[in-house]
Amino acid sequence: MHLDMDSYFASIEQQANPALRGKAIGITGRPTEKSIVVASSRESKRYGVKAGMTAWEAKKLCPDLLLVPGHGIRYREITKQFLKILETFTPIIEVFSVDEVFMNVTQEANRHGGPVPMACAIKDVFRTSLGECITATIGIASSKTFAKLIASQNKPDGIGFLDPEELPELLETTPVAKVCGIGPRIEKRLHRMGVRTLAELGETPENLLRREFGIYGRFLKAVGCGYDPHPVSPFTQVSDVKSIGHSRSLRPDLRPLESALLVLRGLCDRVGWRMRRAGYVGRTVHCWYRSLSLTQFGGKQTTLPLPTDDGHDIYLACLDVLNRMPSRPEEVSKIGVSVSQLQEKAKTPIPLFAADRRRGRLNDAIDIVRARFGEASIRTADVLLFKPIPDHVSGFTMTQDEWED
Amino acid sequence: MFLEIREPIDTLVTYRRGAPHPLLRAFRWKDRRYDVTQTNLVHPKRVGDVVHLCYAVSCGSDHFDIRFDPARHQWRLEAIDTSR
Repeated sequence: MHLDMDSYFASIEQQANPALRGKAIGITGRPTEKSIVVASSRESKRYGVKAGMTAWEAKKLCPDLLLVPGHGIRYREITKQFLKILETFTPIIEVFSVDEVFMNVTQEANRHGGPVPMACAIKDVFRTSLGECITATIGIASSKTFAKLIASQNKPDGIGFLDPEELPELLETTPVAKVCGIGPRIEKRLHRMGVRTLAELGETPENLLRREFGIYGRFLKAVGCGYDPHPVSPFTQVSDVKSIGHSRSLRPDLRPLESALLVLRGLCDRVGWRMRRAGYVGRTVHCWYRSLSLTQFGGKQTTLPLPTDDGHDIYLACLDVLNRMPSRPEEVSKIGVSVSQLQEKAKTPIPLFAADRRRGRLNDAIDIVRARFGEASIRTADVLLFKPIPDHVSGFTMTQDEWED
Repeated sequence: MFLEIREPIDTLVTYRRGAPHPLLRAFRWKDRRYDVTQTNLVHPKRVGDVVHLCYAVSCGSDHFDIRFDPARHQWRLEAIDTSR
C-alpha cells in the first residue's frame, strides 16, 4: 500500500488557516517574488503552478496566487502524527518522504475486511484526527512500484486498487516514464532502444538491459514484468550511519567568504552536537561550497589523526581544507560540512591529555544545557555575529523565539 | 498574512479525559474575550526538553496561532491573521 498526502504543505496551511481554504496558494520561504514555490495547493495546480517554480513564474500563471511562508516544524510534526496513526494499522511502514509512505498490509488487511476497507478506515481516521483539508491518496497493489503508480492515477483524495488480473493491461498502456525510478534520462535511453511501455520493457531481454543500465537493468526488467524486487523496509530499522553533515544556502548578506565562515562555524557546531547525541566520533572532515554563479563546486576533505566529535575541531579541519584549496572564492551561495569514517565513541580510548578531556567535559555540559533549553540556548560567540534565521527559512532549525529564550 | 504578537494571554481551557491535548475554549487579549469556534490544527513543538503545543484556532472569522508552554503553564498569543 502506498499513501501519498495530497498537496501536503499547502493542505496543512489551509487546515491551520481557514481563510486560505479554496484559494490558490503557494508555499514559499519568504512571501516575495524572488522566492521559490516549494508546494502548491490543488487550486493553484489547476493553473499549472508546480513545486520548484520561482514565485514570479507562478504569479504569471496564476495572478491571484497567495504566497504563504512555510512552517517546516509544523509539517514535520504532522508527519509524525500521521505515522503514529498508520502504526495502529500496520507495523511495517517505510517512510519514502515527508508526505509519502509505503506499508506492507498483507497480514493486517483481513482484520479490516480487505485492503480497500482498510484504506477507507485510514482516510476516516486522518479526517477526524488531522482535519478535513489534510487528505491522502492510497494506492494498493502487490508491490511498491505499482502501488505508487496506481496512487498517482487516483489523485487527489482517492483510493486505487490494482487487481492482479488488470496488471497485463496496465503494463500495455503505461509509458515507462510514469514509473517512479525512471527519469527523463533513462526514458530517453529506453526510447532509443525502442521501449516505450512497461510491457515492451518486460519483453526486452534482461542481459540487454543490464548491458545498457548495469545492475539497474535488473530492476527495470522486474518492473516490466509486473513486480518490484524491493520489499517494504520499516523506518524503525535504522541502517548504519555513514556520515553526519549539514549544509546551508546563504542569503545575500552572508555570501562573502568571511560571513560564510561564521555560518560554517555554526554548522560544524551542529554536526558535533549531532555526533555526540548519536554517540559517534569521526575522522574524515569534508568541507565544500558552491560559488555564486552556481556553476563552480569546490570541496576537499582531510583526515584527522584522532577521531573527534567536537565542533571546534571540525571547524579547524574545515579551515585547513579551505586554506589548502588552490583558489578560494570571494563569495559563496552554499556551504557545507560532513564528517565520515564514523566509529562508536564508546569504543574509542579516553584522551590522554588533560586539555582534551577538559574539552570533552565542556561539550558534555553544553549538551546538557541544549537538551534542556533548546539548540539555540548556548552557542559560541562568533556565531552570534549574524542575525538569527527566521523559522520559515530552511537550514538551521533555530527559530526567533528559541533564540530569545 | 500573520502578524506576530507573542503576548501572554488568559485562557479558558477544558482538560477532557482521553483527549490528546487540552481544548482551548476562549481567551482574553487586550481586554477582549475571544470564544474559540474551531480548533483547526494542533501540533507539538519541542523546545529543549519541553514540548510546547501549537494551536491554530478560529474565533468566528478571525484566525489565531496560540502556543501553550506546559513547563511554565503559560499560554501565549503567537500571531493573528491580518489577511481579512
